[in-house]
Amino acid sequence: MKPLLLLITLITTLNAASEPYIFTNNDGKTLEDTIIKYDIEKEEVLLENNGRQPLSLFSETDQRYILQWNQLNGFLSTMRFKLTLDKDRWARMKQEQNRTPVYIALDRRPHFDTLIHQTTPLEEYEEYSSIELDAVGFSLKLRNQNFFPLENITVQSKAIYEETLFQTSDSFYESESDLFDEIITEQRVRVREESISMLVPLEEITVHSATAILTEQKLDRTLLTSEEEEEEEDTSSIEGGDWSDHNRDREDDFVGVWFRIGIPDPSGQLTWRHISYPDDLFEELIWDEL
Amino acid sequence: MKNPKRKRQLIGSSAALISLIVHIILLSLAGGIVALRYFNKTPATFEVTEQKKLERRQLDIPVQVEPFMQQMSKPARKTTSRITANAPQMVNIPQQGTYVEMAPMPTFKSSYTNFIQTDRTMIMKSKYRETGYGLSAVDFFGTRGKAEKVLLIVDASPAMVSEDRGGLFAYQTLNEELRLIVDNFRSSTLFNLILHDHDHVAHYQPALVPATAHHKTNLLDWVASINTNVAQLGLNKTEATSIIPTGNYELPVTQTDMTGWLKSAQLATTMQPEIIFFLSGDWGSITDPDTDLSYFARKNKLNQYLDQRLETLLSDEDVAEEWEEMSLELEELVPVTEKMLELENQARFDELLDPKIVAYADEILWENDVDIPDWILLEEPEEVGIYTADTRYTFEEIMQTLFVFTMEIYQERGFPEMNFVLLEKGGSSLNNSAETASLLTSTEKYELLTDMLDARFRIIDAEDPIDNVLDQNIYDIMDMLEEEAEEELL
Repeated sequence: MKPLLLLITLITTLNAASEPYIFTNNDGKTLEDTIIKYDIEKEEVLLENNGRQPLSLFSETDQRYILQWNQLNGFLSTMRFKLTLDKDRWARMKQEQNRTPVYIALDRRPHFDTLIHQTTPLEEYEEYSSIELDAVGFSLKLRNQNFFPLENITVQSKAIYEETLFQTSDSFYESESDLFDEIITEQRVRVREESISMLVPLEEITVHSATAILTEQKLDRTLLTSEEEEEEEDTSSIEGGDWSDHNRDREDDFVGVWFRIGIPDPSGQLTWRHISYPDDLFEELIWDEL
Repeated sequence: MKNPKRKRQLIGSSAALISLIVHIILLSLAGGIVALRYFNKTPATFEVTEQKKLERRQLDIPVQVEPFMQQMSKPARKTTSRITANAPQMVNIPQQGTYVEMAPMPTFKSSYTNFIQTDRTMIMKSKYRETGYGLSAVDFFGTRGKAEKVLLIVDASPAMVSEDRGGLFAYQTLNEELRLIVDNFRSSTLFNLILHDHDHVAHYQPALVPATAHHKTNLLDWVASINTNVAQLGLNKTEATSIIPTGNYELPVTQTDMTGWLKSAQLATTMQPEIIFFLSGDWGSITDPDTDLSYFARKNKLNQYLDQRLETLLSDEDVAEEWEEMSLELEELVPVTEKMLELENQARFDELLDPKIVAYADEILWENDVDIPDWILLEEPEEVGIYTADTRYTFEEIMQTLFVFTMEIYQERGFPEMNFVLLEKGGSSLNNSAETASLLTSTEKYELLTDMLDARFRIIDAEDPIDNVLDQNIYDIMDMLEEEAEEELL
């Protein structure tokens, strides 16, 4: 349903640009006709009923209308105004470590107000902890293959991803709770907007989306002693109780990126072209609802 | 037909004879034609012409002719163990910074911000600079880098001049080093300095400025005025702290919990330098002076935990009694601490030394081997309702915070270069401790951080620790206090 709607919108936009228009010449005489084509070299406009007419024949307002119509026509052409989307990774970091988990007791010393700590290593356990951070971004190449410049281009993008969060801290005591490995997922939408005042013929410009920051985190506490040994040992409460292995992980999910590129139509309203990753993302989602 | 067989034989013989005769005629004709053609053709003849010999001319200018082999001047053949016949050609690898010269050429086939290359460093460098003239080689306490936009972040907290780091003298040494670093900046290098003291962060200028003589002098004067007086350590809290614009991305660490180098880094990224150098004394907002355990605290949770912990302790009558006793003992130690400090400072004054810098209130008691009552541990920590792990941020949360606020600003330019220097305490013997094994100390955490960022990290030794002039005895002090009290009564 959505693709059909978009197609209708596009056709309507094109039709709107090709609707009959009442032109006025320099002497104030009017003429109702529809533009078929504009020749930038000869500065002639081809009208449906009145054939070729020089641009200078029209009033200044209509000249602007014709040029704007031509620009929109060039903008909407996928051949003459090319869009290429590329996925990129702008930064990536990873840290993993094996360590002895600890329980840190703390208190404030009365009358001195100093914080005191006591660190108890939980030597029965080995903890593997890792974090991987990824800054994913997209670059959009805009290439003007028209014989005329395109002006006042607006590029908006939305990078969408799902961020995951642990519900509890990594406390040993929390590890006994059901919520320890539970995660909350929240959708993040990062918006970026850029304006390009002019794209001259054969010029290629690259604009970028906002970055989607994806995190992957793992925590894996392994009990080093066997169950029999564990039974023999007296595991005091400070050592984290007598629960066995516990682990949890979370991984953010990249949904996609949606670029919309707009240019003012003859009425001054922005007409948009869309490109996304995955290709059908912009057909499935609604821009204003993101 | 009397004899038909004989008749068939005669017919067959005649036919064969006729065929033979026709063939002979045809062959004779063909042979005749060929013979006629061959004999009519004139035979081919070779004409021998005498070729003229070129006369050798005498050279007008005498030239010394060398043998060809000598001209080539080939080296003597050598036998090598190499398998490949040709030696690899020398390749000119550009020095760091030389690409700058070709960086900002405006072309139509370019990105909006000029470059589309796979080499992120090149993109980064090219975007930052217009010319290569401002490129400065920086050696920041042993960590090196080359850039046009440099930001220095220096810890100015009182911990940097603690007694175990050599006191005020430690900062003087750092200042001297900083003076050399700043002096070496080219005038077209853009730079700035951020100082931090826990929550308080102050910048020299709100944006990067050219390293002109004027700015260099002003900056160094500003730094030189800090940590010079024991009565006024750290940053001047009356001065407004720098306002750090917060971004739109969610950070694991809240803005109120962001302190020290992390808070400074957030401010630094808004200025978008190419390289950031950090000089810090500790990792987090809380550092245990005894074990060097360091972490960023969740301040609200921490205060809440401490209050609830006390409440839990006091809810048990027996424990409450024990706690009251401990509290009384500690209360009695307060005047002892003050007296010890007073005497120590008096002794230092007599020896023309700076007064003692107190890192934490009961420090002097430890130094004079005063028995401090043990604190009461909770038998059931979960009774508090808040776990101690909730009162601090994990290393991973700090990493994520740094990555997120940096990449929010830098985006397609990639993560900037960051180098870290840690001013370690003198006489530190923290190896193999529980904190080290669990990667909880400042040193361990910075090592993990720099490993992750692929950054340079250096630990610099502090000056020799300052020892107390006096070796005080608690009983003497208590007697002294009693005498003073009696005198007052009289």
